[in-house]
Amino acid sequence: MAKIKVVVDPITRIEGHLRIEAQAENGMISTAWASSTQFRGIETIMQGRDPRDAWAFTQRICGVCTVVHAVASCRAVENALGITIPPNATLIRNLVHGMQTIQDHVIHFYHLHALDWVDIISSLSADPAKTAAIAKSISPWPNNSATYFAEVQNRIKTFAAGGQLGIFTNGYWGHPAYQLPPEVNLRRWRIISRRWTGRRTSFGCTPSSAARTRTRTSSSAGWPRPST
Amino acid sequence: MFFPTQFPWAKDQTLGEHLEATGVSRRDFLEFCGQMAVLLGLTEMAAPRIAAALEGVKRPVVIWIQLQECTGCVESVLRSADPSIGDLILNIVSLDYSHTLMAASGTAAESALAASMKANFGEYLLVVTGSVPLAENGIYTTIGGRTAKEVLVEVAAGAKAVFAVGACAHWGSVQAAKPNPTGAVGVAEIIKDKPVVHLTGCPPIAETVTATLVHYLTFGGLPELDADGRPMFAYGARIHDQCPRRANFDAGQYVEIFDDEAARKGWCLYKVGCKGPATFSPCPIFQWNMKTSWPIGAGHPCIGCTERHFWDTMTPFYKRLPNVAGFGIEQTADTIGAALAVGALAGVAAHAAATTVHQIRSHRKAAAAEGAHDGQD
Repeated sequence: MAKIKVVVDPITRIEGHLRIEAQAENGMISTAWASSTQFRGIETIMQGRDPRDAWAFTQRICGVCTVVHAVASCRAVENALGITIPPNATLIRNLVHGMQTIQDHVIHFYHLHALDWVDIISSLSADPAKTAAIAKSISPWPNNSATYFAEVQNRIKTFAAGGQLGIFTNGYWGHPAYQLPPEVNLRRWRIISRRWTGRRTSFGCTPSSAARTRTRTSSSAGWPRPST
Repeated sequence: MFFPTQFPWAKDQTLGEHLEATGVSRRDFLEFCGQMAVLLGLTEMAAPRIAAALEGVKRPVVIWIQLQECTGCVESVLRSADPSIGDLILNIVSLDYSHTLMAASGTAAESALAASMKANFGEYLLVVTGSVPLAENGIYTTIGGRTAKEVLVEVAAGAKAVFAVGACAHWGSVQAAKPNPTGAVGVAEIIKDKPVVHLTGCPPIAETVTATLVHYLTFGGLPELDADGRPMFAYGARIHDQCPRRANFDAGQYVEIFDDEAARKGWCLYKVGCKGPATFSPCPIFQWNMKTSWPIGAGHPCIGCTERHFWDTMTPFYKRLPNVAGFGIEQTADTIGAALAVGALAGVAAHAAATTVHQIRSHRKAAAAEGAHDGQD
């Protein structure tokens, strides 16, 4: 069988720019190359600067996992200068790290990775009752009902019928390795969309989530009616 | 961004119809318009006009390209949450292309971009984060085998206006710090035939982007800009002049080291390197993360990230700016402080200071020309 070479560039839903080239023989990938197609030279830029500023420069390596780079940089400077930080400073850093882990999990799992295996279009053929049964078997959330999931499904229908798929255009779902039943897709989709809107609410200080609840529950009265 | 299960916005639906269908009350919408009017530096009297115009807006198409950058600006803008309707507007604009958020990759992603550009040519709003590296013919950032410059020029051709979001898109930011190994420049260095607005900062506050977008949708154009292309409503005032710790500065009450009694009391951070006196940004007013806090509020000096070349002119970050005037009644403290500063700084730092002072002057000149800075300094 002939060799086939596949190039995927850009790889999306990551920080930065990535290119993957894969070569397949007899239906199997025989060799592959990954290249980061962005370079900034922060190592060069750091030379000769005040070591106390290093964290701010290195933090800009990645805007998704900023804290990790900043703390690693602080540790590097401390190692170089033989500085031991007091126990309280370690505690504060651990707290900040913990927050980063929680926040990054929400972003990575729901926001970035999920679109590889949750197929929004497949969820249109889901049975809302079955979806509710699956949901009930794993979570006590009060809205786990057939009515609720039918409503979610309806919204997806409106959205798909509009033909405006936005960032979902050309998604390449449906690979057997990732395939989920439609019901699971529908439930996962509901969770993802909630996580997306709620991701800022990780730390409980959310006037916006309160505002959202308020705006949802309050009536839509007051909007001018078209004169008919 | 585009949350289909929550808020499908049909193409021919107006924003008013859409918000109503979503269950947003008109009262919340009017409240939002009032807040936007205030953020934009208009009076509350402008709120009904904003409301009337926004209500009738059809869904705008936004293409978001990421060039040489760290994704921090996307993260920041995603955290726009208060006012919540602003969040909605940002979330539901038809984001046809975004590296960080889109499902597709590779040629599938690039063909989605091409299709959207073709369908909305001349109409879409282009958001750019990241700089354009020009060294070595642009090889330092490529997307789909094309350089950042090629991508930018092609996508900007059909854009109605360009939002350069973040310090990278403004002037290159960290990668343009000396010696700028990749030859990074801002968007406006490449795109000269379109309006480019600089929503700068490393990263910028989400609300500056929301409010500029609202202005654009309401009035069909960009808000008033300063000499550096930054909206006056957000970047028209110095941090120092809006700072809640300004009273401590005027009274000569300074933090000397980060764990002293003055730091605990929340006194002025000028002596530990605060760049607020040379930085034009809405941080003290807009604040961050749903007005939870902001750098000075958390006890850290401002690093001046809304100013051009701050990685060189504002560093070392923990050394104070020299020659900051304006102590007013506490003249003595000023004199002593300035003398110490001049003695302590040499070479590069002195040059940096001259640059920042020059920046302040040019901002003042620009501000005076705009006639919008009455009563400052």
